[in-house]
Amino acid sequence: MHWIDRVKNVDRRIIYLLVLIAASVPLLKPLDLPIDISPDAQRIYDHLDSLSSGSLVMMSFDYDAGSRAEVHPMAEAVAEHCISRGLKILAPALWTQGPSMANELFSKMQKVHPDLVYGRDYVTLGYFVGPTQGDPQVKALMSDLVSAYPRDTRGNQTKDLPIMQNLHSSLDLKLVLSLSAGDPGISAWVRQGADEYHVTLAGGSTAIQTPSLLPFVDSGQMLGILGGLKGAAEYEKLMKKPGLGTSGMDAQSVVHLVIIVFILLANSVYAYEKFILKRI
Amino acid sequence: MRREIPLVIALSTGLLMIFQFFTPVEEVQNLGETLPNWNAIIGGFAIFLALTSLIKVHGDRISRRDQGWGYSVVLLLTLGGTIGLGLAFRAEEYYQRPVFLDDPSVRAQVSEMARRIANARSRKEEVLLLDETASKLGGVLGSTRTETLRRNLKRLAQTGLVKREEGPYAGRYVCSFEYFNPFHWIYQYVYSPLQATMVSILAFFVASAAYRAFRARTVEGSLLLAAALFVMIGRVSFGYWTHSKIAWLPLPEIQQWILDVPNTAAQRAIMMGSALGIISSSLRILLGYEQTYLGND
Repeated sequence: MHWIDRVKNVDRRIIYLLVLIAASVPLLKPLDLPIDISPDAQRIYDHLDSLSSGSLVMMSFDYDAGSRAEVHPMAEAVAEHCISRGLKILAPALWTQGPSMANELFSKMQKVHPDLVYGRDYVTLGYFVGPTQGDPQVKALMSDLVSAYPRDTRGNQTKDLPIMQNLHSSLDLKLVLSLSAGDPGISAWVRQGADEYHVTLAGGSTAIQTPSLLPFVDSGQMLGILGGLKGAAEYEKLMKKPGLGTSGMDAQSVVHLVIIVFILLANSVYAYEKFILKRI
Repeated sequence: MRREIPLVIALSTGLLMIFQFFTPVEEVQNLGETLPNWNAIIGGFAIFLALTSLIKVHGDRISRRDQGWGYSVVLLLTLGGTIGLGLAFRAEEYYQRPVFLDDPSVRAQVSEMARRIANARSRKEEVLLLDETASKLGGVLGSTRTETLRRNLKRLAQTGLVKREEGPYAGRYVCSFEYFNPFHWIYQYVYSPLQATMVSILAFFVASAAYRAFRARTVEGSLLLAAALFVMIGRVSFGYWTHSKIAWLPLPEIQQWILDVPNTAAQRAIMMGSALGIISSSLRILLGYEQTYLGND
């Protein structure tokens, strides 16, 4: 077999093995590559940092296990920031697996911050079915959160919880952060939360979804967006607390490099075949 | 009539939903909030239809012993098992749940029953006491299910879980129980990991597909390839590291420009295009030109 055919028809298992090595080695032995801060991450950080202690922040868990690796690290970083600043967190979910993600996050936070009190400092509200998915879900949450959630995930009446006593309208929410991996998610929060109810909205999403949401940041409908693991890593750097995002970025960097090498190799062979071999 | 009535329903409902958006009349606005709720109910029927169809398709495969019929057996068993567990275990028993025991007489009764069950001399006596507790205090303890009740009472007797709570329930007597819910267990430890696995292996497929298919065959393809390479390298730490070593190669800035300028422009055009498309399709449906939803061509 000609060497060109060998390169072109390389066994896919070799590619899989190289990707596996590229992903796992940096996770086991971090490379400590530098991380730059995007203006979006800086704006979200500055906004949360400027809020007075006791302010209400809503973190909507609109993702599932499939996107957990990308979105959960930024949820942790932002929650850590909110808790360290004394901000109160309301945690609804537009996705069915959202409550599991929220419970996992707050269980971890509870261990790190033993003084954290459920019902006073945070509340997990669970999955909101709503009339239909998307805009009607968000509209119902924004118009009357207590009616949308008469009880939280622990069975408490939400209207009795101390954290809800300062919530009179959606304008009492000083920031809504939709952690989203698709629909329903950030787009619905923009149309209903930001445009209709005028809340300050920020987002955290998967890297693949982020480019489609950038027009909302550009138009000023959103404060900013944390995109993928990089968004998490940036926020962790701002917090000066490296976490899952920072360690994951090394792995992602190396995997991207491997894929780029594959693409360049394949295109070099293609160009060689097209422009040089044809002339011979 | 089979065509006309659905068309009239679609037209009148559509016009009503448009009208409610512009009218200040509260009753009409309320109708606009009520009608989407009907959607959820209709959605419930759609699930029932889908379920019937799924059972029929896979039932037929099993009865004909088609290739891979074993997978259909697994699918139907899993489906039945999950639905059964979901119906048997209430959704509100997902998480740890505090039960308030503010009434001193109820508290005394619970403690007394817990003590008697813990000291039961036979299994029969224990079951009788559990039945008695269920009829007396099932609601108070959050469940009338024997297993849950037994566990709750045993924990009560062993650890004295009834305590005056600090924090949000300060001053109230709270008894916290952690429920084991098999339905939730399946969701948490089978469905979620499977979903995560499915997405994880995408990285391998993407690498393989990019190697085989991502070629600069045309000018447009070459531009796409170049943009993809800049974004891929510029968005990760390696891009920033490269820029710190080679100052004239600002990879992070290049990728940010690609995302902020050409990407945002294209995304905005796509958004506007799809909005116009949705408006036009909706008008076609309302005016009866589009009838595929009725099964017509």
